[in-house]
Amino acid sequence: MKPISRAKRIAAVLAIAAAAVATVLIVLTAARPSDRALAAHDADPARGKLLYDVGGCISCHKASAGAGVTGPPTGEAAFVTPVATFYPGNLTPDRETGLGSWTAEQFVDAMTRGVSPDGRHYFPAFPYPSYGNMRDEDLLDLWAYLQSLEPVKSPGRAPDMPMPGLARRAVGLWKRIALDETKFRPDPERSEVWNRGAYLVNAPGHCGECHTPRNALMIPDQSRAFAGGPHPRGDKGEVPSLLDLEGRKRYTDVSDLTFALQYGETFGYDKLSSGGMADIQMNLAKLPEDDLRAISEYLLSLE
Amino acid sequence: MTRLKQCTLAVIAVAIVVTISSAATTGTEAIKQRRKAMDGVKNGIMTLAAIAKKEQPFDAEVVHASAGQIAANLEHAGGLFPEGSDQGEAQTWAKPEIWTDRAHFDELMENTRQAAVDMQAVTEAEAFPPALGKIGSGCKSCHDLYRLPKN
Repeated sequence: MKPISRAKRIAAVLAIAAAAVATVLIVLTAARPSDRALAAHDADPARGKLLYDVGGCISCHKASAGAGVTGPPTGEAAFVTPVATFYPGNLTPDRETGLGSWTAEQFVDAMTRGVSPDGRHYFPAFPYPSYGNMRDEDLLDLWAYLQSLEPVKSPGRAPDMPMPGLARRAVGLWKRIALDETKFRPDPERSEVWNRGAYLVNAPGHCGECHTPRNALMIPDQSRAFAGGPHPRGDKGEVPSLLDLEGRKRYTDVSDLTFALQYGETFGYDKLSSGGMADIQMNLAKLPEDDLRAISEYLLSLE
Repeated sequence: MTRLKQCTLAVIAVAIVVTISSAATTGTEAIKQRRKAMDGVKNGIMTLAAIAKKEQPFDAEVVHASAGQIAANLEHAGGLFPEGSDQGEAQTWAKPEIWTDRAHFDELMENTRQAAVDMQAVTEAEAFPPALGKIGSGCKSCHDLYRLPKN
């Protein structure tokens, strides 16, 4: 038998190594549905509507860029970022094109882990790293609200980007580093109102997705939480810092900031309407005043 | 090089320098003036906001004057976004889309001015909040699309 040449042996070793690396990567980047069971909960669609407004779901899932914040969340409007253009998708309960055939478990999995029912990673333009902080009962209330909407047919579109399949795998890797599985925990040292505000801001409100700067791996830098920075959509101009809002004379007190969130430009708070804040403020305007005061109290405590 | 050629080149060079520098001043001047006009709008809004917050009583005369100040400043501001004034030596938050979607920008500006004109006719306290809401959504509609966020 002819001895195997050195070159062939190296080639074989490299092939085996490559296959091993590929296997590890495929395993590491796979999107697996969770098998976590949800506790029984008597879901309340009205409470779900409140969370829908805090999250501002409609801001991204609207029918067109010019559509207001009251229409059905059919999700055709493009969400433009420097890396890709996303079409957020239909949240109405249409069975073929929306969430009509989903289970509550699949919805919770999508919201908290960014995994779709067909086992793919969602791109984190969908802010599941924040929604992961939401309590199960809140997610189920939100689910009940979405299921109560009129179903609308809207097939949705794949994102405009090169090699989306590979990019989804890369997201799988990113999630391993970026996703923090610990949920929001109230601070027992603080008041109930403050904790309510903290929860609304950090979980459904997902304010940090824009107001917290990201590092080179596009992971929010929690050591600079809410410090503002470049606009994640690649817009010029800066996302404002939410730190020391009183000291920097942006708002005088809780009532002032509450007015700002409630009325925005109408009351002369003209900073609440650039870079996408206009829609957010209009969504927040639908909240009960107590919740807006809780949000304000929490935000004004950030230093 | 003939004398004529030299002269021609010199004239062209001077013309270029003059054009560039005047373009720069136009931009800077327009930015300064429109920021002043927008400050005028803001002052009017703040007076109306104080009434809305019930810090001040409803006074039809004050409302009329403030709404007039808003309308006049918006009319003035509309003409202060000439081509090429997307930048200058003064800071501006104007987005380049103003000059690519000009008709829409002008339409939003005009709608907001009209909302301020409508507010001038408000004499009853009940009609005041919705009229103010219309001015507010006017400001918002334009700022949302055509103004950069600032810290």
